[in-house]
Amino acid sequence: MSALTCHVAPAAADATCPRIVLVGNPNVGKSTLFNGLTGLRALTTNYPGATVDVAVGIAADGGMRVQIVDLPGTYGLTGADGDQRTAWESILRDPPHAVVAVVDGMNLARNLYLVLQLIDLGFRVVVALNMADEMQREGIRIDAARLGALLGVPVHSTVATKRTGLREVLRAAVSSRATPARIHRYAPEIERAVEAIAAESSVPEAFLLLEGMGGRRGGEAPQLSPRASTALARLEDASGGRGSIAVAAGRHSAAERIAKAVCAGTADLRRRAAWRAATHPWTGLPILAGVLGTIFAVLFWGGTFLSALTDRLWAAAVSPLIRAAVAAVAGAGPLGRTILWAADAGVNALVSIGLPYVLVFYVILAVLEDTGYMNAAAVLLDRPLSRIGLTGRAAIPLVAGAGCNVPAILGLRTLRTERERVIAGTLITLVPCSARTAVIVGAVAALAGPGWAVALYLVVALIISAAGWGLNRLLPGGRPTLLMEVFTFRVPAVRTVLAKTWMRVREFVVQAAPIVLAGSLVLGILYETGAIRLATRPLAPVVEGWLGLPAVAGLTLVFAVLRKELALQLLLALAVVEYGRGAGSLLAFMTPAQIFTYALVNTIYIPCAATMAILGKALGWRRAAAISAGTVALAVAAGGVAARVLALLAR
Amino acid sequence: MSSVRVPLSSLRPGSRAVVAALPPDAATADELAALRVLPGEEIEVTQVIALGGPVLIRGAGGFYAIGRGLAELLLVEP
Repeated sequence: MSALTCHVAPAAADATCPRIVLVGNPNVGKSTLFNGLTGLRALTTNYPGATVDVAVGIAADGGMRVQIVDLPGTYGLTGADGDQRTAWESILRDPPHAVVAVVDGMNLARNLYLVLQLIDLGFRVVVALNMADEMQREGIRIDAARLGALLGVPVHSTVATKRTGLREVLRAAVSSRATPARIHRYAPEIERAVEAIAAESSVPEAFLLLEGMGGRRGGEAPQLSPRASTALARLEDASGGRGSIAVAAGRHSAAERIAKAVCAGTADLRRRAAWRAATHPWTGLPILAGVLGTIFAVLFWGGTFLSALTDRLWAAAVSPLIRAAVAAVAGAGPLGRTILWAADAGVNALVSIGLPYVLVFYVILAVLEDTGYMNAAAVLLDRPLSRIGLTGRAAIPLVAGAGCNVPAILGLRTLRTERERVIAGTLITLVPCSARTAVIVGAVAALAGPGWAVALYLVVALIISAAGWGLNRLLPGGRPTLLMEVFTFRVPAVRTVLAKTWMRVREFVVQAAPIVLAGSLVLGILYETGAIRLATRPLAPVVEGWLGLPAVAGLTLVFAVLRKELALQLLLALAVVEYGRGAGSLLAFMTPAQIFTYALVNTIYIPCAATMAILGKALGWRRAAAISAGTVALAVAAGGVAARVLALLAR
Repeated sequence: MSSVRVPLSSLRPGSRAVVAALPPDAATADELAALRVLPGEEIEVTQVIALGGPVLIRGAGGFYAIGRGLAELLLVEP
């Protein structure tokens, strides 16, 4: 119960359950450290800003429970948008018991900038000097004790991937009582300005003000006395600009002095040749096309293989058992048949259509993320994406959208402007997620042929580009710009890939299963009672008249708002009831052209219920509603056009 | 010390320069400052992605990709 208290009321629970916040630059192993401390598995990614949602977990120090908060990676607390704002807002508004600053010894000086800023802002800081093993391999030695003495805070070496040193860090954080003593380490004009302002408030308040964060703690920026104003003006004069830039420069040089005093050896970017090839347009675009082609091929062959396998296993081993069990409990009448819609056909569809494709996609995505390829793709795609009002950073959520739109929309927080978030958010809802891919591959590729599936993807890509181009023209606002750290490739760790895949697939099953079962049950009731004929009637003009599809297919499209793969699952369930077991029976009442139109409409119209909910949270309900309505119109228009073009071609 | 200020976007790969002025937008300037891309700091252009892509630089703080639009606003002294 106390664990729950810690989750729900972090501020109130401080006395019994100290809150420790993890802060650090992106890609320093912070999330791995979090996993090691809490036993939970927050996703860690070789991409800046992957931890978009604040992860919270509970660790134990002796008999004491400690709440651990994993903030998004940040370089400093002064950045005004996206990740960085989320990070500093939360810890400034609600100061934790202590902050663990996770530091990458491979780039010590820049990492220390954030540590110094945290100390200046009055936090109790413990430094986790991470990647100790990698530093040893690279011949970098850091004197941790000396570093601690120079910073005035405890420093502990850790290897997060091997869970070394984590206990010591946690113990030091929990037992820290006093804020670090103030060390005067900056240029005289900075120190004078800090002192003058601090005389009326405090040192942390002085730094907040100097760095342009004054008043961001919730209140107004304080009125300055004449003495403080003079000191501030002198600092701005001396630096020839804003106070925050002068403080940043002073802090960087202090960080470098400290780093030089404790550190021997330097690291360089590895695997640069491969990186250059992946980011140069002439080689990078073919490589990207190759990667996308591989994803599709693996999804098609791997997903289809797994799908057929589970389907056969289900029919041979599981289905008869369920049928027998349901018959024993509910009989063979309408009630039993209705239950079978969910218990047999619904679950069968989930494990043989949804799961195989999701599983395969998430393995691929985890490998791409962990190698750092997504980082190279962001650099490569920055220019093309700028044509639709985005930056290279948007490449990551857009590609992640091909797995599931929901986490992709959460990833919008890594984008720096609201305009980018609106455009990317809209486009993500059009990206065929693995559920829609299941329909495209499972129906179009399997029954109409792989060529049809490729054509469908091209049509969707064209629609996404056109929508992006249109939004970029319609929405007011300026050109976005890319600013991100570059990481080279690394060999993916099997453990990380498997852990990530497991996390995501588990989440998919937890979300999908109840909706698929409930949807199947409702459809079963409609079918067994005969109400389905009435329910399909209002849709007939659009579905039969304009799209040229069987009316019952339109009904499954409506149900697919719950989950997109439900469309095909319900259609197959209907087919099984109507025409006998096996996906091939879909061809008994739909032509390849109809299957194409059906999958196209299903791909484009309204994101699923979960996506709409998360979109409403991320961009506001009015925008979410507008985007949903827009996609319905787009889907009906595109589907009607496709049906007519295909009819012409068939002639 | 040369006093000619040119946009970062005008530099060729392999050239070095000293940052002279950050973009006028305060938030972007602060973000660059946290990365140690600051007036007076030396940087090296390591790669320029063709066809209007980002400029990749190596500064004292690390390796960064800077979009072409931002690189046009970041002034340097070669």
